[in-house]
Amino acid sequence: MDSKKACILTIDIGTSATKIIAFDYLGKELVYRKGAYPTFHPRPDWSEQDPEQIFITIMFLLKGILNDTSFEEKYSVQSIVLSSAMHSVVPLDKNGNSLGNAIIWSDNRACHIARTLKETELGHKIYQNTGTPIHAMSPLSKITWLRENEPDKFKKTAKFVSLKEYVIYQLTGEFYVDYSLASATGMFNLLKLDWDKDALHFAKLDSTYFSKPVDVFNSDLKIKIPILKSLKLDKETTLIIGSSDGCLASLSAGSLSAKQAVVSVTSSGAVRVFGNEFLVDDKGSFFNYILDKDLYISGGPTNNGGVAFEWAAKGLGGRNYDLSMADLLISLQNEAAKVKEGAEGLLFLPYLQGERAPIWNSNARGAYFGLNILHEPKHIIRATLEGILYEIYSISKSIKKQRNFESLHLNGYNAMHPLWSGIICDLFGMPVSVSTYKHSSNIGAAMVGLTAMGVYDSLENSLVIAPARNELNPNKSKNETYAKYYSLFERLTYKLTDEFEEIVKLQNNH
Amino acid sequence: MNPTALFQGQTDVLSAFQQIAKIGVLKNTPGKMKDLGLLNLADLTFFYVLDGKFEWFINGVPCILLPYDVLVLKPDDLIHANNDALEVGTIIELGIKEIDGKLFHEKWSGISATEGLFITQFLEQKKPMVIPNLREGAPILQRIMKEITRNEIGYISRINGLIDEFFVMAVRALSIENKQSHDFPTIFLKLDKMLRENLSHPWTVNEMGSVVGLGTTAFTEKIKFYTGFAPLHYLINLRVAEAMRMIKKTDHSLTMIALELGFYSSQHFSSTFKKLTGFSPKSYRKNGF
Repeated sequence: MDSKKACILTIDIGTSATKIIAFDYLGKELVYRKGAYPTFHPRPDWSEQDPEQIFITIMFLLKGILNDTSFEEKYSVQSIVLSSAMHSVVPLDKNGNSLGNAIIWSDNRACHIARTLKETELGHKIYQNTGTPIHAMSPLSKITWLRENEPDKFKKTAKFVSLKEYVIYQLTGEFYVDYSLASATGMFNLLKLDWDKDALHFAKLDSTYFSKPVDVFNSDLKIKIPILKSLKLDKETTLIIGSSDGCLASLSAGSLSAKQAVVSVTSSGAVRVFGNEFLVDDKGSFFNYILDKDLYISGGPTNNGGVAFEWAAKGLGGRNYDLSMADLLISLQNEAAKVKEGAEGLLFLPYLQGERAPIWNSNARGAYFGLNILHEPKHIIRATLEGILYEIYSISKSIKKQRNFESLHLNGYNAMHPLWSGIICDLFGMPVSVSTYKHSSNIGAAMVGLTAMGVYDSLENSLVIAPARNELNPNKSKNETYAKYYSLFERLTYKLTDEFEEIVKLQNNH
Repeated sequence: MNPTALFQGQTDVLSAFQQIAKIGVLKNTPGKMKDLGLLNLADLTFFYVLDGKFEWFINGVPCILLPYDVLVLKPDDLIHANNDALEVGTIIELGIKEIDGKLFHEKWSGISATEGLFITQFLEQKKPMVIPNLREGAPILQRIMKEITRNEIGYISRINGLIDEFFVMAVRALSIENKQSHDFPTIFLKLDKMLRENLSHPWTVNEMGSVVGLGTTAFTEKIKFYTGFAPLHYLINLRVAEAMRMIKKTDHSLTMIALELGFYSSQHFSSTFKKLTGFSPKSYRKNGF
């Protein structure tokens, strides 16, 4: 190799955009590009994306980076490694052409299918073996929905893949899926590391409908020659399959220890823990994704992260047309920071889109409780943030029954904000390390990639490139205040079960 | 104002204005609108509410109209009244006919062909369209009616000019409606939909900006910040993505695909496609290897 510096390209196929970042072998960011694409909602609870657009977006971004002379002169790309959002389904025909849009994770069309299956013996067994909760987000439910509702499309389908597998297919002509992403389908047996026969049986499909599962370090795939040429990539460039965004973002915490949980809040949210075994419970509420042999990431997700905050911000700042959304969020957070913990007696139930863990009630709905005449918009914003975080805290409480973690790592753009990380630290009453780097899935992908290349001899050792972190310690009296509010929050959530059911009926008849 | 209406073909007054299908004031007393039952219009029609309150279904979608609101109806839109609601009020109705397939015929309108095409497309984008609180619209419509009945010197050019002005005002107000939201993702979704439905149109950045009610500079900056793409790059990506589908799923000739997707020649299509995918359209159609 000449005097150019070796680097690795990480591609994170996210929900709103694909981010491509080149890192050197010490994890230093060399170049960053993003390309956004829309999510379509043909019906209110459907969410779809255009698979061809996503592929072209990636090609466009790669082209932009690799054909830029200032990059080309200095760096030589050794490997490309992939990260991606979980749970998407793209049906492909026998020629590998997509049969319509991708159905993405947030799509809720299959909720009835999931609800029915969850109650059965078979549903319980599938959860025990796949580690994925039986839920509308899971490809198992979505594929079943397609079979029942679009039989013609289902019949024409030869492969059910995720967006990442579709991109891999376009790049290489092969159908490969990494264990992590496969373990998010609800159809992958975590112990056998192969497609689960009960799940296949339920979907009335055999394993030929799915890609070949391989470990996250796999680099057998070969990018098609014309694409390598067009991108001016060396023939020896390897494509490392990588993992899912959730797993990779957790790596950026810089620790594989089971003593630390990772709390991530973006538009959604999750609490995750590493472990040598997976985590299942009778209610079927925890997810489990496999990162490496005997290394699982387990936890609980919430639908209502930053989404609920942005919703409140839009409602309260709605007349202020001069501010962009980003500025509006900043100014509202600054106002809310001036309000004391507990928002002076205001509580928010954040279930705007139903809720996954730990209540798993798609009929749950939002509420403000305790409003009085002295409450101002800033109290409402503060209460909204706190409500979102109470929900995340309740997830961590149920995980704690099985895993005793003692500290937290925070990532995701909301959790990284000082107001949010402060509340999390005091609410959880634990020392917290806050990520200082936004693109945690990309840096996690670089760790997997560099390990696959042998630059680091284990995933554990690759953690040295984890970005710097800020440390916070909890305040005892604030923690006590939050404990009181949280107990009220929990009681309200369960007390309202019947009322949630009834209001949803009214909403649906509207 | 007396309830009066002029219909093209039924009165000489409109003979100098072939583009006006109908103009007039509708005064509704209780019960009258109910008799209307289902109203199916042949022309692009503006209903401007002067007073009162109307609850109508436009293509099955409920719309509540209050004073100064403008309802824009396209041919084939179906409106019918909500039979349970009491409807009393006054409306100005203005119907505009297409002549030789043009909404803005050069004989009457000073709106240029490109701008006319753009306004026409804009009016086709969503249904039903209600412009809330367009206060400055009333004086224009009232002046048009006054000019028609008085026939003073210069009234023909005056009326044509006022109609153009009303159109521009209405479309601007509609695009500001789009803009008045912090929610760039929603704005972006609208633009994305508009582009996808009109990939063959020779879009300029200026036109793309007007879809979301932004000037060229602000628009380019916002799109770039939010999507990472320059506006025309985003459009090219959409065109190539659609091309991938058409090449594989249809037997349209590559030239035809190029034209349907707004590439100005099949060479231009072929080189753009190859640049992004690594394959010429021909070899991509064959096997994609």
